[in-house]
Formats: sequence, C-alpha cells, structure tokens
Amino acid sequence: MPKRWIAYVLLIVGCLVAIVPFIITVFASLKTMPELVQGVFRLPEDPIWDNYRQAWVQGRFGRFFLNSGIVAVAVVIPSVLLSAMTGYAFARFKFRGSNLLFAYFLIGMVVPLQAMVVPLYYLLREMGLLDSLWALILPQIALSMSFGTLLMRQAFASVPGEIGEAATLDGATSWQTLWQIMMPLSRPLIGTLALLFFIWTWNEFLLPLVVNIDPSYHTLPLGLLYFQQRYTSNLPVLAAGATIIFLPLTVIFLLFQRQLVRGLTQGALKG
Amino acid sequence: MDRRDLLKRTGIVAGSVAAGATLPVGVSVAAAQAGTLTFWDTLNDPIRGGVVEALGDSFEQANAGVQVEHRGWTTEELTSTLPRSVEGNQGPDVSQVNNGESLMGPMIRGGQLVSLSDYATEYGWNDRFAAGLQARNRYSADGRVFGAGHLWGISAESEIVGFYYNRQIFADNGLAVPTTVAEFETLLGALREAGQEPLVFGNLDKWQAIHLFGEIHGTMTTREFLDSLIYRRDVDAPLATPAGTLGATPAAASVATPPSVGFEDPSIVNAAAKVIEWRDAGYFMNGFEATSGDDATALFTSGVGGVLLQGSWAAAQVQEGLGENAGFFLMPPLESGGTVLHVGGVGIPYSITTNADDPDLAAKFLDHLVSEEAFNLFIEAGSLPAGEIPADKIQPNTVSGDLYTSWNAALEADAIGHYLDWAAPDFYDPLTAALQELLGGQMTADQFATTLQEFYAASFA
Amino acid sequence: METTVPSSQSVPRAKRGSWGSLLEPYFYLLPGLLVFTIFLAVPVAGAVVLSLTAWNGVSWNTAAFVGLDNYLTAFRDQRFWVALWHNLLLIPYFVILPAILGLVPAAIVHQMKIRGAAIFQAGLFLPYIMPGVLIGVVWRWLLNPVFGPVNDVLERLGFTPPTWLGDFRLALPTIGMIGAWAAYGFCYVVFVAGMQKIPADLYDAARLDGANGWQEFLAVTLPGLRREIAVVLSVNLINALRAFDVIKATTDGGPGDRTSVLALYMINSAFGSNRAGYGMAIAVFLAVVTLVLSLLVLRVFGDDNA
Repeated sequence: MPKRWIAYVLLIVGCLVAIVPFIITVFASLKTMPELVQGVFRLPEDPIWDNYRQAWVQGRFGRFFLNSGIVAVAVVIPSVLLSAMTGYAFARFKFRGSNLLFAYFLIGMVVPLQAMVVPLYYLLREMGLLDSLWALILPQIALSMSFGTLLMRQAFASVPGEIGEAATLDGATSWQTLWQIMMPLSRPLIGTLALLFFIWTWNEFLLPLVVNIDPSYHTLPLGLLYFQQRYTSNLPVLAAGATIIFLPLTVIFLLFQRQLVRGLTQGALKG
Repeated sequence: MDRRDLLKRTGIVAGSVAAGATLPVGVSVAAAQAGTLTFWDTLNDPIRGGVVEALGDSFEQANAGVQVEHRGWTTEELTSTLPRSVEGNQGPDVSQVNNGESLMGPMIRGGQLVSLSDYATEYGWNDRFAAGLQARNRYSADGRVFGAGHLWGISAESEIVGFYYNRQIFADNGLAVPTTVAEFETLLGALREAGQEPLVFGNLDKWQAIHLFGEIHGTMTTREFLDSLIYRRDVDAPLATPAGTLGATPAAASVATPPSVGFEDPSIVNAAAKVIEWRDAGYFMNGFEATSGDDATALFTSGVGGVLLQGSWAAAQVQEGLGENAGFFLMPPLESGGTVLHVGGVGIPYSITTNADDPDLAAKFLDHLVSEEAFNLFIEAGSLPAGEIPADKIQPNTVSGDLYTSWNAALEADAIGHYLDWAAPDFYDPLTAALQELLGGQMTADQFATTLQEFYAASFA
Repeated sequence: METTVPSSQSVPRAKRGSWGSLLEPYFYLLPGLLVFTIFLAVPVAGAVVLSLTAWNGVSWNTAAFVGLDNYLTAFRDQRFWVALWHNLLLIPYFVILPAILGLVPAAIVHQMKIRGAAIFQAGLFLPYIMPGVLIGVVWRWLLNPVFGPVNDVLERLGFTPPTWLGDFRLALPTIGMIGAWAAYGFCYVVFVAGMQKIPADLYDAARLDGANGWQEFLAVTLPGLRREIAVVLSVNLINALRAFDVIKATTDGGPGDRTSVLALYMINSAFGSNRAGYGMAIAVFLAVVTLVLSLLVLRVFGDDNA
C-alpha cells in the first residue's frame, strides 16, 4: 500500500526533527568549546568524557539526583490518586458549585508560577517547611492537581455511561466503581498522567530555587542552573549536565511506554 | 592615585570598633549562630569562588572561634534571594549587593544594610580606593541620593570593558593596536578586506550593545556629563568625597529634580550615528544580531575574528583559548592623546546586612576581603582586583599584562565610566531594545536619543 | 464532528436522595481540595493582595495599599499591550500547530498499525522531556548564522538564509516554531492514550461501511478524541499565554521588543525593575484572561460540565 510508505517517511522525518537537538546536546557534551563553535554537527575529535565527571563531581549531581528521585516519587503517586478522586467527583456527580470548583482547580495552571512563589515562600516560612524536601513535595502536588483534575475528569467522563450504570446495578458503591472499574479502564491516560507529573516535577527549577536556600535540598535542574552560571563559558560541561538530567527521563519514558504500547498492540479496548 | 596610598594598610583593629550609635543596626535574630559569619556573593566559579573561600579560611585562622561560611550565587538569584531572606531574618551577615537602583538603593531605604562610613574611617578604606570608584557605592543616609554620602559597600574587584585581539591575525595582516578611533576604523576595515570577521560580539541576548555603545560614546563625552547622567543630578566637579566629610550627606539635589543633561545630547546622537556607520561599513561580525554574547566570546577564543568586544572578566577565558596569541587594548581616543571614558567600574560591592549578629566582626571581614592578601589572590586568579596593579605583577605581552596596564592607565586618568543602564531604574529594557532597533536599522540616531530621553525624563516623574 | 459519536457521552449521575449521597462528591474532592487550597490558592491570594500594593519586592515598608493603581498603570502601558499582542500572535504556533503535529503521527500509528510503533513513539515524544532552559540554548545553536547547521544546510542549497532569532520580522515566528517543537510531544502522548479507549468495533463498523483511512479518522478517531482535544488545546493555550522559558534563553524579548511577551514583562518588572506589585498585577490579569479563554475552549469542545 503506497500510503504506508508515506506514513513511514512522515514518521521518520518527525523523529529526526525531534531527536536532532538531543544528538547535538550529547555531541556538545563531548567536545571542547572551540570545537563546538566550529560546527555543531562535527563529531568530537577526541571525546571528552571528563565533562561528565566534572558535571557529576563539581556540580554535586549525586546528591541532587537522589533528591530529585525522592521528590518525584513523593509527588507523582499522591498526585495521581488525588487527581483521580477529584476528576471522578467532577465527572460522575452533579453537585452544587461544581462549575465554580472546577474553575477554582484550574487556577493552578493559569497563574504564572513566578508570581505565586514569593507568597508561597512566606507561607512555607510560617509553617517551618523551608529548606526541606516537603517544601518541594507539597506545593508540587498542589500544582499537579490542576492538570490532573482536568485530565481525569475528561478521562472518566468519556468512559461509556453504561459501564458505570452496570456497576451501580450490581451494587457497587461509587468508591468501588472508581478504583475497580474506572481506573483500570483509564489505564493509558493514568500512565500518561503519571509520566507527565514525573517530567514536570523532575524538570521544575523555580520552586526549589525559591524555597530551599540550603543546597542539601536542591534538585537536579537547580544544580544545572548553578552549574550553568559557573560554566557559562563552558557550554560542553553544561551539555553534559543537561544530559545527566534528561537521560533518566528517557529511561522512565521507555518504561511507561511499554504500558502504552501494550494497549496499542493488543488492540483497543472493546467497549 | 599613588600606589603607596593604595596599598597602604591600616593595621587590623582587633576587638570592637566604635560602631556609631547612628548606624542602622537591626535587631537581629539571624539564622547565623554566634561565631558564624555567613557571606554571599556571585563568585560561584571555582577560581574566584576559591579566592574568597581561601580568604574565609585565613580569616578563621586569624580570629579564633569564628566560622566563615561562603555561598556563591548567580547574580540574578542573589538579587532576588537576598532582600527576601534579609527581610525574613534568614539573610547572611555580609553579602554582595548590586550597586544603584538595582538593589543597593532599595535595600538602604528598606533598612536592610548597615552604613560603612565609620568603618571606612576606621580601616582607612577612603585612602585606599579611588574616590570616583567609591562614589558608586555611596548613597545618602536615607538612600535617596546616589553617588554621594554614606558608604554602603566596598568592592573587592574591578571591571573594565575593552577589546581583546588575536595577535596572530594582526601579525598575518600587518596590523597594529590602534591609537585613535580613525586607526581603529581602518583596522576593522582591513580585517574585513582580509576576509576576517572584524569586531566580534553577539547581541542576541542584548547586553553587549550597551558596552559597544558605551565605548563609542566614551570617546565623545566628558566626565561631568556622564556622572551627571548616571547619578541623576548635576555634578559640577568630578565626584571626590574627602575622607573627613563621610558621614554628612552633601547638599545634593533631590533625585526628583532631573539634571540639566539628558539623552538628547550631541554626544549620544553622534555615538548612535557612529554605531550605524560602523554597521554599514561592515565592521561587525556577520550574524552578531543572532549570536549570544557568550557564544561570540567562544567563537573568538576558537580563533574566529580579529577583535573581540568584552569585559575584563573574560580575560581568563580568552587566555585559555588563544594563549600567547591573545592581547588586549582599550578603546582609543578620537584624537591622539585625548581621553576616553571606558565602560566599567567597581565589581559588585560587599555590604553588611542588618541581619549581622556582629557588624564589627563583619566589617573586619570586609577589610580582609580588600586586604593585600586578597588583592594578590585575585591577581593570581587572573581577575582584576580593586585598585592599581603593582608593576611587578604585570607580565608584558600577555593578555592579563595588557589588561593590567590598560587598567592602571585608565585609573590614572580617572577614565572609568559607567554602565549606561544605571541611568534610571528599569532602564535596561528600554536601553537594550533601543540599541537593537538602532543596530537593526529600525531607528535613526535622532529617534534613538529621543526615545531614551523620553524614558529618562519619565523616570523623574 | 457530531456524526458517529461513539456510545453515550453522558455519565451516570448519582441518584439524588439521602444526605450521604449529596455529600458524596465533596468527599472525593476534600483531600485534593485541602492540599490545593493551602499550597496553591493561599499563595495565589497572596499574589492578588500584593498586586494592590506598591511593593518593590525588596522591603515590606514599600508595600503600601494602592488599590487598582497597578492595573490602571498596566492598561496605560504601551509595553504591556505590545507584550499581550505578541502572546496572541503566538497562539497559532503554540496551540494549533503542536496539536496537529501530535495528532497526525498518533493517528497514523494507531490506525495503520505501524510496525516499530514503540520506536516512533519514543522518538516523537522526546522533545517533551527536554528541560525548558535547555531547549532555548540548543535551538540558539541550531539556528546560529555563524556556526549553526540550519543555515549551513540552507547556504549549501543556494539560499541566503535569514538570521532567524535576530531578524525583526522572523524572530517571533521562530520562537513560535521552537514552542511548537517543544509542545507537540505532550499532545502526542495525550492523543495516543486517548485513542486506546476508542472501541475497536467502531473502526470495524466504519470499515464495513467502506470507509477509507481518512474517513475513519474523521468519523471515528476525531470524535473519540474530543475530550482529549479539549485538554490539549486548553493546556496549549495556557502555555501560549505563559510562554517564558524559551524566550528568556534565546532573545530575552528582542530584537527591540519583537518577542516581548507578558510573562517576560511581568518577571522583568517584578524582579528586574523592583516593581513587584506591578508584576503581580500583570500576573493576575494574565491569569484571569487565561482562565476565561481556557474555560471557553473546554466549552466549545462540547464539554457539558464547564
């Protein structure tokens, strides 16, 4: 079928456009600065793996890596569960003030984070949470709630109505319907949600910057930020730092993706 | 200024220094424990950060029971974090505070800094540093008049903008360091003819055009004009504050009264016209408008181009890239023997915050940051310390040697100008935008001057 | 779009009855609402309060109440309107383009049962993993007229390429294209996940009716994705109005003011120029506009709840 051929070409071109900047980052991380400006695509003559050692040791990336991991896990799991519950409330029930409450949840997406971090700093100070991982985890969960509520509401609302009705007729409570029927049915979207939460938390740098002065509670992107200033003249070492940040995300994505693709190859859900 | 004056060290006064009851010493429940002295700055690279950390160590050794903690930030982050943490009593004892309205003025008015005037007398800082440079760290007691009155910070480093050049490319084309603007233009034209990029700089991220324009304007202006423009009041004579009158606020005009000078000045219009002339003559690197300042510097250090516009802070990087092939010169005057005001000034000054448990100890530490030990460490690190560089520290025919010689000459001639974006609060955006419009052919020299004057005048409203 | 909407879009509603079932939705909302309110809504309220003051962001003694002054200043501020206009110009690039770029490959992979789907999936999603700060740096290199590969290739092909980010006319569209590149991976995964729930028998039925791939896409895929499309468009819209990272790392609003946007202006005002109260007012204005527009998008896409 000729159309198949076109499809493959399209996909390959798309992938190339997507990947090229990554290849350039990885190339750059193995070069010297003069080599870099002699041509972005030129292969490094003598790959400088030391850029990675420098990034890891001098950037204190080991510690930041651990913090990033702890924060990401501590954010993603509660965020997904809480979003599922709020999304379910909006999708399944008709109640007073539901429109208003839904708009209220969207506030987290529409207010620029830069504007609310300053009041947040003073709030966390009053609560005695500054300079701790809690100062990253709790606000990040709150931030995740906006998109989570939006996506899960859409996900549950598009589950065919008869499924929920059938469960109710079988005597299932709404609680059981949520966890035993709705959640498994929405698995691809929940996986996507968890993936997105993970990426956002992992890449967030403004929040840790403002609330944690003590570097013991910094995360990777913040490490990269300081590192970047320290090495503005040394973009290759910076590129190595950036690679250290996005490689784990790539791995995480590949793990999640197996979930998504399994659904894909097994054929879509029979309604 | 005499080098002996500069390097004259008053003995360190141990114990308490009379801290003057008028000093705004805050009630401090600071995070720092007794005996711990925290200081924040923007020296976050291993080399310069290493210098101040070594100074912290030697201070600990000289002062039993004192622990010094250093934290290096990015300029932007220090500027946003410092006032917030001082306001919340979590701030450091000593910190770098950006000069002018960016931070120092607002922090003084917010009661977050301690006046250093009495300490300056005590430690003899006024005799050691050029008055014209010290003025940049001065404000009236109420923080309303810039450039005179109390001393609120002292700088450990200096900055000057000039031109790095590639000796190899100069030699290959039979070129020499220019001594007049006309020679500089001939030089840049010859480089273009020879197929080299003449003047390397990158204006994608905007800031380098301030330096380009400032250097060109510096050949066409006077000390009085520039000081009045920047200090926002008529300055009849070069600002020299005698040591004796430090505590007093001179009867300077209020900031609400604009000076008689402004941006619609022939020097501004002519400098803008010169920028356009240079662009049309092809003196600038191709693609400068889409290259960032850092990328342009990297290009030059990888061997591209004959001349690089950059500040003294790039010396180590240029040295690393070009080695013996690197040299440095300052903007030459219009006519041989004339004066040029160079973009530059003091490094970000160190101040004492009102969070400091023991301001006297903090002042003692400030004095250590500008001690001879510090001076020598900064030179070893390839950085430009505050003050004249002794001849025995200058290696001729190296980039740092050229830089130190140039710096000494500029200091001698009282030729350190200003960064034009200090002219008004919030001036960086309109200034850089107008410069890009000028360079991009979207604006004439007259429109450029008018636009900036409108903004400048409005800032006094 | 209304044609063969699969099954019922309606959702079972809890039967009205006892007090317990009336309170039921609030029970689901409570934990999330609590965390959200404390750590997000309270700080946002703080920002709203600060937008009514002359706070300079440095010391509290400047935080005098000035009423709506900051908002009135903004409405008279030409730089504010220029920035807002640029945000609006970015909408096609940040909202529609990435949605199409995400939808087309997702539909191809889903409908055509492409082999090696996993590889394409990974490749296509990759840009979304890159941290915002890095995206700007990398594209700055790619598009650099001196050493970047894009112009290098164009020159070899005989073109005289522009300077992209340094060009007064092209800078904003270039930012827009970078934004589209950075956002389409998000659209792509949401669409892929959404397609999993489309009942396979709808495709079977369409094929029995003799539909070709394009008709299947119009009749089955697109309607089945209606709710995901609403999510993607509203999130993209929010990103278009909040655009900041990429611009800060490339042009910082230049050349001139050609890529100045509200979030950049807000941050420069609040933290660069010590006009924090004014910056907060811009942020609040921006948030209100964004909220209204995104609710509108959700409603246009047939969302019965918004």
